[in-house]
Amino acid sequence: MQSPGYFRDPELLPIYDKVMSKERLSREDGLTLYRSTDLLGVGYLADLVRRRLHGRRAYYIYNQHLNYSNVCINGCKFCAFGKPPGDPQGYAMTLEEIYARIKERLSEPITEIHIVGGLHPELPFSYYVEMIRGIKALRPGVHLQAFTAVEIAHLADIAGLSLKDTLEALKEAGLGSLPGGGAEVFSPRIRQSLCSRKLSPEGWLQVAQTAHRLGLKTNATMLYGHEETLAERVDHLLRLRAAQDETAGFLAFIPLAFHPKNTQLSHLSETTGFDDLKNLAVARLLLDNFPHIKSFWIMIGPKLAQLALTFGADDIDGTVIEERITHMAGAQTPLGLTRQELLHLIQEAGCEPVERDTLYNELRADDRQMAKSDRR
Amino acid sequence: MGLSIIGMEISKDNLIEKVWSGGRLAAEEAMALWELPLLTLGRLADLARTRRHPQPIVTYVVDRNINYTNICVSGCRFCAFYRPPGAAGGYVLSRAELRRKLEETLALGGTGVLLQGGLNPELDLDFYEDLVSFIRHRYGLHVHGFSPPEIVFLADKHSLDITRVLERLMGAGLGSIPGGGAEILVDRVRRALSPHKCTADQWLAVMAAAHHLGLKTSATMMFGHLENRAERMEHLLKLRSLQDRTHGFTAFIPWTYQPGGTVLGGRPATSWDYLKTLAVSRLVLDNIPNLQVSWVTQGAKIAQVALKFGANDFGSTMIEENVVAATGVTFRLSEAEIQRLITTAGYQPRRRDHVYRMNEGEGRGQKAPAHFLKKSPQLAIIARVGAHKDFVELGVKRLGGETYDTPFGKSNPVHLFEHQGLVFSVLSRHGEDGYRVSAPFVNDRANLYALKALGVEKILAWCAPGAVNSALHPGHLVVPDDILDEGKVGPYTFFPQQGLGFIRHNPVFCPQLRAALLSSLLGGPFPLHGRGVYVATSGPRLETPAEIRKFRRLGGDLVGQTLVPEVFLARELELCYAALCYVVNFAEGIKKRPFQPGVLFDGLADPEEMAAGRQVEEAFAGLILKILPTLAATPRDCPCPQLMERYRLRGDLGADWRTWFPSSNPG
Repeated sequence: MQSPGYFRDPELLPIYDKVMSKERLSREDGLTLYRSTDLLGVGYLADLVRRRLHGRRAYYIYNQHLNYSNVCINGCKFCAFGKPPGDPQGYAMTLEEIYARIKERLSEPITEIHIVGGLHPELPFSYYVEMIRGIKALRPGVHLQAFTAVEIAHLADIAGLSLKDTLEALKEAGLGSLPGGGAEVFSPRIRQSLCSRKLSPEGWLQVAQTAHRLGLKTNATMLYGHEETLAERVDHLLRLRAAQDETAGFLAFIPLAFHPKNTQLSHLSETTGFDDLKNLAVARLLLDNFPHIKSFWIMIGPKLAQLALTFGADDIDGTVIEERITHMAGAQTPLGLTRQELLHLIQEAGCEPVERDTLYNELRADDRQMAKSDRR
Repeated sequence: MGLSIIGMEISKDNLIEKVWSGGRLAAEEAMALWELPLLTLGRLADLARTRRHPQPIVTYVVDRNINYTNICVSGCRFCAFYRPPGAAGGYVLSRAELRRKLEETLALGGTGVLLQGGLNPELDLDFYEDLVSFIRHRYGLHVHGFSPPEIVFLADKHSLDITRVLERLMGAGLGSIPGGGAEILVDRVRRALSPHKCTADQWLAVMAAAHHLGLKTSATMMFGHLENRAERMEHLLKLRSLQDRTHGFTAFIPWTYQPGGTVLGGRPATSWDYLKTLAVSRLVLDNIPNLQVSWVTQGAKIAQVALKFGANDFGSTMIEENVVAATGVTFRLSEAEIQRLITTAGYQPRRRDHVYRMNEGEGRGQKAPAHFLKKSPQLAIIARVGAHKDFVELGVKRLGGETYDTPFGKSNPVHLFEHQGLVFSVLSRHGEDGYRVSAPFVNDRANLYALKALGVEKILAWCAPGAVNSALHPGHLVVPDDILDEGKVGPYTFFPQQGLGFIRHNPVFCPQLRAALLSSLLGGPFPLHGRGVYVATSGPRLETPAEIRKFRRLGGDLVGQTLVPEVFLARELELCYAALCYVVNFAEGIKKRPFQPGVLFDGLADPEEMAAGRQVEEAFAGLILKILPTLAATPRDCPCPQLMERYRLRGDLGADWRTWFPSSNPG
């Protein structure tokens, strides 16, 4: 079968030619890819690029997630996590509580701690700086990926500092990189409708690019599956691509499927399998200057995350559980896979599992030992 | 690149080439499919799917899963649903509970039930027959029931052979058999997994016997436990080989073992494995028409993606599911959600019945005429003079009525009624205000064309014949099952110049509609005869005594002027047609009756007999309203919708029936 035999949708053939000659894809190409129902054809194109960049490698990471507070002044309609100030379900962890969480897992070979929270109106800037400094003191070997661009802009407001000074202060305390959240969809129409108080697209990109210029890597996301159009998705991706052309500091792009449950948009349907896989594939094809596309298995489940490995994704994130029994002692079934289960998913998909650190350096067995030696 | 399979080399390109060319895959070639990249394998399966089903249509069925008992002696290690006899939590579904489930099924627009249960030693064949008959005849639902282990269990329990058990269940109303209990059709695996369940050969023997009796069945495979890939392939090849002989499998449904709560435990098969197995199934099972996704085990997302890996059917809306749910895996999908998943994958959703036939008019792209009311009748009653007035008198909501210009002339007025949400039409053959059109001059073609154009699928013909068989008395109801055509005149076909219509007439009346009619009339106020040969004469005159003597010798039971050629023409339009006769007199010469001038039948019926006939006439509309829901709910899993299939396949007739006639412009 010749490669064009893969395509049921003839409109994919010119895009195939471009992919083969490594030509940059246009806005129109992006729309064609999104509109096509030839899921396998789109996946095949994305897989060509993914294999060109990463071969059979599939990355995962051993990390710990920390959400220091859910109190948030933004009130975005798509969010089920944030609570307005004064809400009885709102919480903010003290620094001691945060450190306790870190200490609980010192015995595990964690290489990254991923920290995000709401925009708390009262916590002082020193809280954030001390959070980073204190965690770093407890676990010097770990990489801290903390505070989305939206939080950074909020911290700059609180501190009365410029973005650059804010980021420098946090970097000095031990911040390693920024996660990619808060980008949502850049369309002004969508932001007006769903998150009018949130940092503007320009502001989001400015934080990311300021970070890049300071040598801090960041990620980027897109929240899809609510009210946005296909054209608005493509424009979002192209804006990220243009920014990356300038500062080259984005590590990974992570499409985030919107989950309507418990949000103000609960009347909407869940995203479909087609949509989840296509968002990964189109991102891989349009974002030719992004090194990595991540399918976050916690968000889309292990079944789709496994398929994602042949639809453009090269990273399925982490939150692995080294040993299940202790975690099962709790009442809830843990949202986690053992390392063995994760490796099985990757290997069955014909890929080679590579444990990475935040900056996508491959971890070898002795690195893992080092990560463990943080234990006090 | 070469793939090394058990010592022999199969080139990947040759394998792809072979699939591309559409040839049957040998076992070792089929095994090599596993080694192809996922997207390549998916593409090949999609190719095979598109060849078999060129239309971008994905079907599904609205039905309910009913598990009549969870008590089971089988003790399969992969099952979290069953309870051993005597254990806590065992149940046999009560009639009240069953009734509630069936009513809910009808309310949701369901056309049938998937009926399965454990191997419960307390239940015998009578229980099963009652259960089937209750669902089939009381509720008019199709029964897709009893996987082979249940059939084998019953055969053993009663020392009957499998065919006899199947015949008895069919007699009770069983419509088709689900393909469950197949697990992996390799005895090594079965011994380890479910040692007390029927063997692979027994499973296949039940299916073969069912196919020989004309029962359609599906087939399943539960994989991802103790079996290896060679054993999965053995399973597929066994099915393929049986299907070559019987052609009775409608669909294949592979699904993954769910380890939660089972004795066997282990890790669930991945989506990768599921999609590969699905695609391999599509490519190997080149003789089984449909491939179904398992959203119950895979979830909505993977099920949707599976539509690109060879599947063309989304399974059932289920309403309830108990067996997989017992493992802790619960996915629920509404009909609207199934439609959304199909549509957003680029396909058109279509409801089907339990033997994978799409609702007529949907799959073939027919639409009710634009000038017609928004509501389309599914059922038509063709009856005597002014029949519609009886419904008006009963207060049934009349939606309208008009005559239609058809390629065969003007139709009689068609009246539309709505009763309890059900729309039906009524047409009087002989006129609205008195007997204006005598039997030989009724324009059957125009009337039937108009009904078909309105969306009618089923016709109940009401008529008033005389009794040739003296066991039938005036005032009795008869549902005839055959016809003796004695010298009718008039056009017998819609295709006089086209050489079409060479179709079988056994059974001449729709068997499903007849069954529904009988079941809904049983226990009513009038004596009922379930069969009878209707002798058709041309009229308008009544018959001579010699003619009646002749008809008796030939096996006739009734004589009349109405049903022919109406029934033959209805069949050419692929309509279901059944007749409900009420006897109005004894035919000439059966009883000695003097001539009486000036009255109907000139004295052939005495006043008492006339009164008995009138009683039925007066009850007509009420009787119809009573049986209407059952008739409407009866699935069309009869030969009727496919009577002209040969001509469609030959290309003589198009998919849209409106293109069948040279000057089709009814609007």
